[in-house]
Amino acid sequence: MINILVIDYEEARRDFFRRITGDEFKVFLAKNAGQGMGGFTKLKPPIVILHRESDGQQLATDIRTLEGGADCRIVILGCEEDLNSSWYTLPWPLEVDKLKETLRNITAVPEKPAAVKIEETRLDYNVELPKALAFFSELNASDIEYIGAERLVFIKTIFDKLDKLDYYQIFEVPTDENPALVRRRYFTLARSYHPDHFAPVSPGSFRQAAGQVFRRMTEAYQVLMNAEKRSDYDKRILKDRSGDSLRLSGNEREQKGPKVRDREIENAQARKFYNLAQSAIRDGDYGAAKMNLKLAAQMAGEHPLIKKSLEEVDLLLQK
Amino acid sequence: MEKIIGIDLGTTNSCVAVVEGENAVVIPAADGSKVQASIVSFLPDGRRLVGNEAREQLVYNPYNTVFSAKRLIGRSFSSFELRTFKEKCPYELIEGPNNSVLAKIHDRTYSIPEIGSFVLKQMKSIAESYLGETVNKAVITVPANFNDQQRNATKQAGELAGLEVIKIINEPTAAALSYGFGKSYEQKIAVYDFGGGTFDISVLQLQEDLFEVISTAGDSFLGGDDIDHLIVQMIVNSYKRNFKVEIDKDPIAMLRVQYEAERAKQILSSEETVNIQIPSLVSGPEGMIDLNVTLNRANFEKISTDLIKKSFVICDEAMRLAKMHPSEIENVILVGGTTMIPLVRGMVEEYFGRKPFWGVNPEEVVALGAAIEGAILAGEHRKTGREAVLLDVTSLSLGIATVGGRVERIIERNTPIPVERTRMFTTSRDFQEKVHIRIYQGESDTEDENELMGELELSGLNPNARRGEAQIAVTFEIDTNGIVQVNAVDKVTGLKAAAEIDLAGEAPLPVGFNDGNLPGAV
Repeated sequence: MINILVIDYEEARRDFFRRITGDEFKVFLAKNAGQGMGGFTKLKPPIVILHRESDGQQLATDIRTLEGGADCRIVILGCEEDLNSSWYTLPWPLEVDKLKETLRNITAVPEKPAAVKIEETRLDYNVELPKALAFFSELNASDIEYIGAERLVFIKTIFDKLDKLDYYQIFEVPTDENPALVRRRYFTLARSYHPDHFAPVSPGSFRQAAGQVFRRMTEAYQVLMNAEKRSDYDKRILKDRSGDSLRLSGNEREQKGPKVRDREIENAQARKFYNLAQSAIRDGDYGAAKMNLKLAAQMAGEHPLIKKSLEEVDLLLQK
Repeated sequence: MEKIIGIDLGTTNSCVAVVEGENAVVIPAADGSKVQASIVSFLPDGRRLVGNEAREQLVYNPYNTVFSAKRLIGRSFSSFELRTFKEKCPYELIEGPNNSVLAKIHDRTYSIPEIGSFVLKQMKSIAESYLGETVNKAVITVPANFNDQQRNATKQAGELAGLEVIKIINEPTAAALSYGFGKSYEQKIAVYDFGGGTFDISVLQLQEDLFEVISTAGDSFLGGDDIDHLIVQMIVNSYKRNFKVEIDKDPIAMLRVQYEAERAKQILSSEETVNIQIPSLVSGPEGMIDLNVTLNRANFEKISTDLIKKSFVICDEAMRLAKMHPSEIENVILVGGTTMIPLVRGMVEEYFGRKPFWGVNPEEVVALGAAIEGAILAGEHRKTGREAVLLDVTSLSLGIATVGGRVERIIERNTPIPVERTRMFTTSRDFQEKVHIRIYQGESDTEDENELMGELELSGLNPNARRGEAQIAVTFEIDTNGIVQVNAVDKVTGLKAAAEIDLAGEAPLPVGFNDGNLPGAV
């Protein structure tokens, strides 16, 4: 039995999901997030379905913060593209069979690699600080005062196991952390550990270690913020956690295959109109969006992105 | 606390700033001028003029007056850029050791970083007389699209001027810092930087004290000088037509026209018409001919529109890399003298759909940003509590040569820095003791279309290893200055392989160099 929670203020959409209730799926319906969501996130395996129009993206972020919310599979309706590697997307409207199939697939996907957090045992500064200071022997009293015990111990601890940590562990975030929060985390780390902070410190082992740690954080940021790179990385570390595979290596050819090219609209003018249309959609001006999309279609022909967007706009206009 | 000054070392002008108390201020020279021409002139009596006072030497002493050295810095003698520049350049450029470029003046040669160091030394001394103390440290700015050699050469210029270069930062990033420091903005901005010699555009996300560069793109051969050149061409053509004289056959006349063209361009930013007059410019069939041309703004705009349009092709590229539409930009910062031209401002407004930000002086904003970064790096935030973190990107891809003249990318452009990537190398013959790796920067897939950055030699490999047995992990690192470091470890022996990187086009430092005196001279 697969438990599904649908949160949607649209009566018609809730009705649609009632139709799939049966032996295989158990559907819970809620008009808004206030209704009994807390307990639901603990059910296994939970799938939460949200519509973009129904504040879906905001809700999805909120759900992540609930107990068990990190393990929820979240589906956002009315989206064409991967908004976020930690959510699934489905177009709307859709057919019952297609929905069922997708839900089965989602449940069948193996769990993402579990985040192995850095031991949260409180570091004993009486032990760790002297160790760090002994290691970074070039530091003088004013360097030590400037860097502070917390940063000294942090750099030493991470540096010691740098090659055993995956990107999630370096960021200390769950494996399904959404990009907005990954970004916030990177910013927090940069505020403390960006190498420029250490410019006034005597050169030597500390600056080298801190530099290497921050380079790894930047690398993690680059991968975790890119849906494609991140999904490849997830697959890889699930299979193999030995040293080298935890890192983005220089041997990897950047993916520039037809996959990416297909997605982009090559004609610059067409791309401009397409982008204008997307901005108009965001502003709720569907008439202008349609006009821009038609112009884009004239220049780029039957491009899948433009076609999809046109269909979406037509639907919005009917409403 | 020791002051770290900020220097904007420009193609045509340079500017120096420092943080005093809460604010960054541009440091004026003794005569009150806030920017100095990036010109170095060598007089016959052995004196050296630098800055604004060297400007008129462009006309009086053209063969011994070096200008636009920034266009040459870090370039190799065989580069396309150097060859193009050389054609129009009145001072003599010769090939130095290791394919480097030297300026030959009187009986001496000067490396390009040395020329840069004269300009920097002047900025240093302007700062010193203002502050009343010695200045030893600086942050120097470079165009975002500068490659590794250009950055290294700029750093070298700083060192020759007696400055420890604490950091090299990108001009657009410095401008963003000057705009947003201490303001706690949360917005997406674009920095449109149209200088004398280069064009850069950077898109940034400001998040309180964080300045994250989302994308950057540029053209190192698009600048205000090119607009001057269009005016010169117009004058040359009209004199050819009307008087049947060829001004372009006379290098001195050309320099005088160029000098006036730049001035005319500046006047047209505030006036509707300008009169260009040069007495006895060239000799015609009936004696000397004066130059007397009136240029109005409409005509000027007509001839320069196409050139300015080129900058928006680069803006498109930056927007594409940032995955954004121009209308999403919440503020546009203008940098560089060329943005003083009303037409440029108008076209920027049209492109982004909003009026560019007023309130920073486009010729001073970069130096101010560099000064702010200098204060941060000096640790002054411990007193003021105001900090900023710059998260920049590399503007050029880094790759290595593989078989068939192809280049394989190791670090893609627009990757956040600092960054490192490790790549494994092996030997292709039995008992090979050395491996050579050619490193390139640029966006093309083939060797000849990219800039050769240098050649790496890994030596001291195990002489008993069969082909493919050696495993050398080479780590390419780009630091927060945008400068590349390479180191190599032999995975089999665990030893650090000896990695020598020969930078292309870099002249060895003159030994014992001190203030232009030859070694030994006091």
